Amino acid sequence: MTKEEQITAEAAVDRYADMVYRLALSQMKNKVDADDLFQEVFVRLVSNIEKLESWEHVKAWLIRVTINCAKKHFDLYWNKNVDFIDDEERVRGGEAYEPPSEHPVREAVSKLPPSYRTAVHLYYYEELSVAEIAEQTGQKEGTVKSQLHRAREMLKKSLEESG
Amino acid sequence: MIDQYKEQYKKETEQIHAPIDLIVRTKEAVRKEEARMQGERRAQAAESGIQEVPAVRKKRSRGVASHSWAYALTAAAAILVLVSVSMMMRGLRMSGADTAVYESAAETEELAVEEESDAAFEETGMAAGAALDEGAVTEEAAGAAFDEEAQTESAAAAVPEEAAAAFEEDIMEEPEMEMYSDSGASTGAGGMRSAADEAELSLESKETENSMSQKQELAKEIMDAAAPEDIVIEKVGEKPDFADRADAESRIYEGLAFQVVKEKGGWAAYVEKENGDGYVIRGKAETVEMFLEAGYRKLSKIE
Repeated sequence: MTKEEQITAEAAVDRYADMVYRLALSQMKNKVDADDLFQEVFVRLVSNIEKLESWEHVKAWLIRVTINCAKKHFDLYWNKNVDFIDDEERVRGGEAYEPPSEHPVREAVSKLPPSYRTAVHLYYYEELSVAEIAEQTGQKEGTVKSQLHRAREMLKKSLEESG
Repeated sequence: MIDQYKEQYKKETEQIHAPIDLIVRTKEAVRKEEARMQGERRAQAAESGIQEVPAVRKKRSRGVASHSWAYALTAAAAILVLVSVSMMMRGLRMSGADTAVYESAAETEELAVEEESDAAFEETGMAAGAALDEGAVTEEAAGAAFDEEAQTESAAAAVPEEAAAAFEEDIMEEPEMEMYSDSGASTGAGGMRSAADEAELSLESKETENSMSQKQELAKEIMDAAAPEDIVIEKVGEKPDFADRADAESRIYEGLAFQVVKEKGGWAAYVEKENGDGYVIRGKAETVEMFLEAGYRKLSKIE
């Protein structure tokens, strides 16, 4: 590994900022939570950067930690209790994020359940395989396939309805 | 998701970028976290007395430590190679010493062969072409060997020292070229020497030819001095009176007895041939020998 490719947390921010932010935004319902998740992931990376021997490892680590951090966020008691509140009420003082109207597909994806959104994003945008998604999310491959199948049906229906 | 939506989702997602202010804030947070971790490590190092190692160096050192067995293996391989090379060099030295011994033995054998051939050459006087091929140096060695051989032979024959020295001097005085040319060795120490031999031989032959021509000229002079035309031979029935004179000189020439006297203007001789015929020979000549020579030649023509 050459000197300019030396793995550091700051270099990881420069290299994978967009990837982490897109994944965080797909997991979260608002930009504030996405920003928080973004910072939390890279701060965690500082204490784990010595364990990662290549940029591929860094990328995989960032995806996995972003998903886990997002899941942890939803697992909080408060978030569980406000699950039935409207999205605007879930926003803790922040601006609710809505994909622009010129992004109908993203808008439809954002309406999927969190686990489905993750599978769709990783499979169609990051182009990970079912096995890789299963490894990253800690689920079985069959579960991932099922999530992808249902997500396709829901998206097809949503997109056909939206016209 | 059909391909149309897939590509559209990718295009829509690619338009999302992390805000720059978020990236800046995140980097600051990362630096703070790194500083905090370094502070913790320093504190831990101060507590444990272990010197702090930077994160990158620590990572590298961990990688090195995981492959530390490779260094030990490399060192062992290097030692093995060195030992094998030293063994091989020792073997080469041994073989080199053996070769030197064999070479010296071969040289000794060559010298012995040369000495033997030289000795044989000197003893038998035959051509020793191989020794001559060795050049002038070998010839000098041959001379030295000859001296030694001569001394040995003289000592073995119990010849007195003076005689041996004289014999040696006599032989040393003889030119080596003459010995070689006598032995018929036309090869050898080069064409220079052979050319010299040939030149000397040609000189000798010329001298011989000159001496022969001188002798012939002398004989011609004798012939001229007592030419057969000046000799008169007369067959006589009785022995003439001058043959019994006191001044008559008896001379034997070519098996015939001549009674020769000096007369006015020449010589007179009486001779009897094997068949008993007597002849009187008269003629002019400077000496009695020339007279007898000319008289005999003319007499031999008379049957």
